[in-house]
Amino acid sequence: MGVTVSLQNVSKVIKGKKIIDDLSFDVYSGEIFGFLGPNGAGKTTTIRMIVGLMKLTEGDVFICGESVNKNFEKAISNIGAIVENPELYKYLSGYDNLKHFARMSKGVTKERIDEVIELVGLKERIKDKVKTYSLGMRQRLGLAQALLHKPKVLILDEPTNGLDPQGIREIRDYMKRLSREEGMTVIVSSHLLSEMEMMCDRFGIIQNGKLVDIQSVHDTESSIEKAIHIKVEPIQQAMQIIQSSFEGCTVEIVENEIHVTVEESLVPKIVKELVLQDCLIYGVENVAVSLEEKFLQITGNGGQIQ
Amino acid sequence: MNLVANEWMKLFKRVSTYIMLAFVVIIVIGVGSIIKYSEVKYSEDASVNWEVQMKENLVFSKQELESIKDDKDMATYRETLERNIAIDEYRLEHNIPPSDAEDKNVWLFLNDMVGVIDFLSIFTIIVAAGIVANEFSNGTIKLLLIRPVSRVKILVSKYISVMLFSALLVGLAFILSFIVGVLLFGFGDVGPELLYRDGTVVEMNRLTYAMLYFSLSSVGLIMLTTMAFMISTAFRNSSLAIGISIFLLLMGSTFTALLSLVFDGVKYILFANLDLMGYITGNQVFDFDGGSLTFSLVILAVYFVLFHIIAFLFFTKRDVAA
Repeated sequence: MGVTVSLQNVSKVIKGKKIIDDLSFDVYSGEIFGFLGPNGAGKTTTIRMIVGLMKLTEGDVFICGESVNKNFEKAISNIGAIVENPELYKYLSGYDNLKHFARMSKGVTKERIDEVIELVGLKERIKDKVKTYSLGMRQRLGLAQALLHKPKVLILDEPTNGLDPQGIREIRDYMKRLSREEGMTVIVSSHLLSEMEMMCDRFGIIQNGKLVDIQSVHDTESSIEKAIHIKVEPIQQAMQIIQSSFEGCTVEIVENEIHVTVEESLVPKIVKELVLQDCLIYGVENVAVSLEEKFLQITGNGGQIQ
Repeated sequence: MNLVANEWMKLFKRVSTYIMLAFVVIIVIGVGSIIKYSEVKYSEDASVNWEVQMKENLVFSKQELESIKDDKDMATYRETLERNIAIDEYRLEHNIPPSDAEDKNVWLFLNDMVGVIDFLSIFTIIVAAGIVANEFSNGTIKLLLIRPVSRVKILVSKYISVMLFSALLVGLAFILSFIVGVLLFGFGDVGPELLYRDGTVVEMNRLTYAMLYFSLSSVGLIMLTTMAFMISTAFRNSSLAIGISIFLLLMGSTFTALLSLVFDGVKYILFANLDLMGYITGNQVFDFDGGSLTFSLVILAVYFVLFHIIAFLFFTKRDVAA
């Protein structure tokens, strides 16, 4: 897997305040990279610097090997992006909007425009003015303009903002398809953790302009430790059974459930032991340590803006 | 260029653009009709008598000129008198009646319609003020700038589009005035336009004169439109750009006239140099020392370049936030 987007010691100072502080990370082709952080952490600023809307105070961004500082036009030709909301020309039709942006890139044919329209499923309404579109349709049109020139990197800033569950799902499916089938790099920013968990391969967490951590989503899924909630009676007896039979695991009673954190392979053994000891099991719930908890751990109490 | 085609498309998919064009049509036809129905025909003997009247005036003007010959404060007036005398003598000699002895014709109508250019300025200022600022206020600038096209090219394409639109408006007004003028008043049986240059009288074809008059009067339009473009780019605010530019359009020459009473630097002010037609006819609104066509052109060029430098610096250097 080649590196498609590479941030190297990127800093941004606005009015003497360091908004982004020495940010470096690489994103590879064919992966969906989530860019996570509380509001005001610098997600949008970073994305604006990658796409050249803001100048870098220090450092450089390389897109497919081309420097954004030195060779902007070459670098940006590999990028398709929606920055925040897809704000298109409302008084133009969807088709005219696409034609407008197609003229600004090299080699976008009429056939390609039709192909993209087909892809995002806007064929029926493409001749209508954008002001008559719903937010979901605008989002689709935004995606269409980002894909016109077959970019290697797709950047979406808060792509699911304001969309209904169906729209969110559509966006997610498109992104997955593009990264799997066309080997496109997708960079998504969001503060919605559950969203990121569902679509990203890796995510970087940013707080106060600094990169706090980069993690792979699959790490969390295959983690050996599992949190289990067991609803059982009598609860005290069950507690003792677990503590005596399975040493080394943490057990506690929360309300009328037992919360256990153990290796996954031990889960059936615990259940079997409880049944054999005549405990009545009403439910066993598998609680994955969610990204949210991880996120809150990492950013520390929800990430205060300082 | 594709970018200009884009700007043109954005311009002509808007209702407001068509309203502007419709206004031009209505104004030209409207003014034409009003002039037509309030027209006073010169009686037969009046058009014969212009010679008698002119001869009387000449005698008076020459006496006047003699009386102020050595008065240094009256230099401007003396020049005007000399010019009038020269032209009048030329008319008598070649039997070319003055325009106020002509029946209304298309050429006189075209000269009347030059005033419409100030009105067109309002439209071109609105377009120039919107073309950059609206991209910012609609947020579309973000999608516009993340293309493999440099910011300079984008701004140039926008400016070219504004200028093309201005040319379209002025051209439309001219052609329409010509057609309306011919239909309502006819060509008339007229002689050439007379200009006074460097002490001699020069004849000029009436059509050439009208076209020259229109294009030179558009210089003000171009300068103010460029200024609106600059303000719009620098402040990203179309109302501010429209406000300032229209204010200066209406008040600029008045202010300049007032300022000229108190200090000399006034000749470096933009508005003192807009009347290029004055250099052609020899009849200046602002007459200052060292004023010449070259001087005014240099001043205008300096302002023009300055406006563009400011616009381009702001557009290429500034970050696009929020």
